[in-house]
Amino acid sequence: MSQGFTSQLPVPLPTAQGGTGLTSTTAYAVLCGGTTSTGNLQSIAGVGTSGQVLTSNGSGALPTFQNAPAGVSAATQAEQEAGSLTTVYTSPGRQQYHPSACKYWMNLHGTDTFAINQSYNISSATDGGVGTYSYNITVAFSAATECIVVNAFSSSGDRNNITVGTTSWATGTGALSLRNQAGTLVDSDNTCVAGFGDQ
Amino acid sequence: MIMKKICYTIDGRLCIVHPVAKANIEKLLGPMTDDEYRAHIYEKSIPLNAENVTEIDDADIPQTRTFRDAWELKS
Repeated sequence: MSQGFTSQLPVPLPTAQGGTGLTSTTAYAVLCGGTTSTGNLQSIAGVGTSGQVLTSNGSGALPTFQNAPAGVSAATQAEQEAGSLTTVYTSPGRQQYHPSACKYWMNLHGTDTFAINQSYNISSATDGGVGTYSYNITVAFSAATECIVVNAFSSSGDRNNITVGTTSWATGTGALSLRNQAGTLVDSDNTCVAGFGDQ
Repeated sequence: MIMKKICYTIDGRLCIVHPVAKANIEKLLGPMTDDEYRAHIYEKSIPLNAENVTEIDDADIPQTRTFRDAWELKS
């Protein structure tokens, strides 16, 4: 006489006994919580296709795989220059095209050893003599109607209260003249210049 | 890379061009060769009527600007 065991458990195991009530599930399908009529687990319809994302269909429905919505695109140069869209994003490589953005700037040391301390969109600065500086812009303006902002600072002697004037400007260059209160050309410890306009 | 200073005379006045580093320009214009960098600096910085255009070392530039307007380019 042989002894053995036979299972007394029903298959599938009902939810009332802690089972799922399911005999099988869809291969690779996502399992979700069930409802009274579907048991405690249920598969969503379909497994989607590559690149799709699982999207909620609200609190009373199973989620489904759907195509991902198109991403927000970077503003073009023209869109940046128009400055009106709110459905594109400003990228680091084009932010400078917005009308409010500074197109070039430079901090120039003019005493002792003439040097460009820092700059943006500047190719070179030219020392043309005492208080006579010019600079060359890498990406030029579209017209010579830009707004130029200048300032100069020196801490000593006859270089206090320097007046800086732009002696000329074009789409790709600018020239500065620095004078003290007596009207004499002088060098400045720091000369700052910035330009705004359309490129 | 940063190229040498460039001297030139114009209307009898000595001017010295101080180029920015190549990397600064590449941020805006993209990668460039050393020759393209030099060509860009010359195109942007040297007036058409400039004379005696010469590249010089930093050590050749006086450390004080007391007599800046009297500087001359030695041959």
